[in-house]
Amino acid sequence: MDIAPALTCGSTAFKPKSPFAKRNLRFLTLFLLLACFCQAGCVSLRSPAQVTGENSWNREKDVVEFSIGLNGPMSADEYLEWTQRHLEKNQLATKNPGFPEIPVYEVRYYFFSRERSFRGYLGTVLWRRAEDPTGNLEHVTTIVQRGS
Amino acid sequence: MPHRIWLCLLIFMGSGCSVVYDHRLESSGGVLFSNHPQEVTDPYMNRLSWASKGIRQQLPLSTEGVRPVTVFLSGTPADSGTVIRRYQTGFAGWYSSLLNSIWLSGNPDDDGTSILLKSESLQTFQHELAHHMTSDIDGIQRRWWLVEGIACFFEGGFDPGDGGFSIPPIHLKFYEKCRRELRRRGRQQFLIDLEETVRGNYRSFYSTDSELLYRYALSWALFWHLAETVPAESDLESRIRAISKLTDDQVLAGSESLLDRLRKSTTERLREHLNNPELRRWAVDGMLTRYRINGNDLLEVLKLDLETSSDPIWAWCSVSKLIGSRGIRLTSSIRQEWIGRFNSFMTEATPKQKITICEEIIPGSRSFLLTDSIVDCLESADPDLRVVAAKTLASISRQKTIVSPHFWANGDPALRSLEVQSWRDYLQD
Repeated sequence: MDIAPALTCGSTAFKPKSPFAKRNLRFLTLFLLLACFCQAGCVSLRSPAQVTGENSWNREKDVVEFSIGLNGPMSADEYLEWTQRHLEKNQLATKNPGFPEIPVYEVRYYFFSRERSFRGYLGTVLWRRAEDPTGNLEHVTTIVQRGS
Repeated sequence: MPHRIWLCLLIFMGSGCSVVYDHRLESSGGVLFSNHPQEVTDPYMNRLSWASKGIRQQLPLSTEGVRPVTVFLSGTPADSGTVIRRYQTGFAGWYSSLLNSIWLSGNPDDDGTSILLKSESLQTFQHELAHHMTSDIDGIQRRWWLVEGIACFFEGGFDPGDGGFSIPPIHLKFYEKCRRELRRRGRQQFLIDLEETVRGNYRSFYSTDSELLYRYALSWALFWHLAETVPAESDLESRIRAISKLTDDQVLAGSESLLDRLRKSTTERLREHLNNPELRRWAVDGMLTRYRINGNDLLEVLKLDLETSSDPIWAWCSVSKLIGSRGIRLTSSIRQEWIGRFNSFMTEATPKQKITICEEIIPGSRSFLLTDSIVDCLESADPDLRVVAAKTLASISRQKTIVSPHFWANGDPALRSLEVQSWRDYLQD
C-alpha cells in the first residue's frame, strides 16, 4: 500500500520504514499537527510575563504598583505564584524601589493582555504588610476577569 | 435522601449555627451570625434595630406577629487571601419566609475592603428585612410585583436627622429607571411590560434575565403610584391593605395615570423637597448625585440645616462634597467663602467628626481644595484620625504620601513630623 506523502521535506517524500508508522501514518500526522498546535498554545500561555510599568501613577510613597503584560489569561493560582516569585526576587518586603528609606506597605500587580486582538485587563493581585509583629507582606486578594 | 438533607438542616439550625459561624450577635430585631469582623457586623446590627423599629412604627398592625429574624452574613471576610471573580455576583441577599431568615453574601471589594460595607449592600439588607416585616400582610402572598414593590418602597427608608425612619417621596434609582425605559421603549411597550409584571408568575417575575431590575422598578412604580391614589385612610398601613385587596385589573387600570406621574424629572422632584425639614437631607443627598446642578442653592439649604440642626456633621460632609464635585456649579467667590468656613469648622471639630468628614470626601476631582485642613489632621493626637487623613490625602492630591496605617498610628513621631513637613512645603509651593 502506498503511503500518502503527507509530510514532505523539499521535493523528497518522507517514507517511514517501521510497519507501525506505515499503518498509522495518517493518525501520526494528525497527532503531530495537534501536538504542534497544543505546543503553540502552551507557549503563548506560559511565555514569561513582562513587567511593562512600575510605580508610575499611584499617589502613595509606600505603595508599589506593577503593570504586567501577558500573552493570555492565567489561573488565579498562577497569578499568585508569579507575584510571589516577583516579590521575592525584587526583595520588596525589605526594599522600596521608589523611596528606599520608606518600607513598602502594599504591592499591587495589574495584569493586562498583550494580545493584539484583546488588550484588556486580566486581573489584580494585592499584597499588604501584616499588622502582626512579623510584619510580612501577605496576600490580600486576587481579582480575576472572566476567562482566567 | 431528602430526609438526610432535612436532618442536616435541622442539626445546622438546632446548633444555633455556631458550628459554621464564629460570631452570634443579638438585637431587638433579631439574631445575626457571621464570620466577619465587628467593623462589618456593626452597621448591620444597627440597621437591623433601626429599620425593624421604623417599619414597625409605619405598619403597627401588620407587624404585630412578626418574630425576630435570623440573619446570616456569609461570604469571604476581607484580607483573607481570597480569589474574587469579577464576573460573579459581588453581593446578594435572599429572604426565606419558611426559615424566617435572611442570607447575605459578599466578597471583598477590589481594594481588599469588604463589599458588605458599601451603602448599596446595606440597602439590600434593608430590602430583605422589609420582606420579613411585611410577610404577614394579607393579600400580598404570591403577588410578586406587590411583594417586591413594598420591599423596594421600604428599602429607601432613611434617617431624616433625628434617628427616625422616613420614607422618601420617590426611590431615586427606580424612578430614574422607569423614566429611562419609558423614553426608550415608548408608552405602548411600557404598558405591556407593566401588565406582564403584574400578571407574571414566580418563574417569569424572578427570571434572572437582564430585565429583573426593570421588573423591580415597575413593581416599585406601581406600588408608589397606588399608595398615593388608592382611596383609603391617610396612614400608610391602611393604604397598603387597600392595595392588597385590588384585583390585577384594578391595579392596571391606573397605569395610564402612572405614566403621567413619571413626567417630572428626578431633579425637579428633588428640588420640590429642598425646603422641607424632614426631607431636606434626602433631597440634598439626591441632588449631590446629579450633574450640572446649581450648588449655590444647595449651600443655602445647608446653611439652614447648620442653623437648625444640633448635629452639623451631615451638613459639613455635604459641603465637602459640594466643593469637591466637578459636576456641581459654584460661583468662585462662594466656593472660596465656603472653603474658609470649612477650614474654620475643621479647627474646632472633634477627632471623631473629622474622621467622618475625611471618609466622606470625594476622591480626586476638586477635593484638593480642602487639602490644608486634612494635612492638619496628620498632626492630631488621635492615631485613627491620622490614619484616615493620610488615606484621604492620597485620594485627593497629586503629592505622594505615606499611607501605611502602622506608620501613622504607631510610627516614629520624628519620621511622622518629617512627612507632615513635606506636606507643608508642598502647600507653600
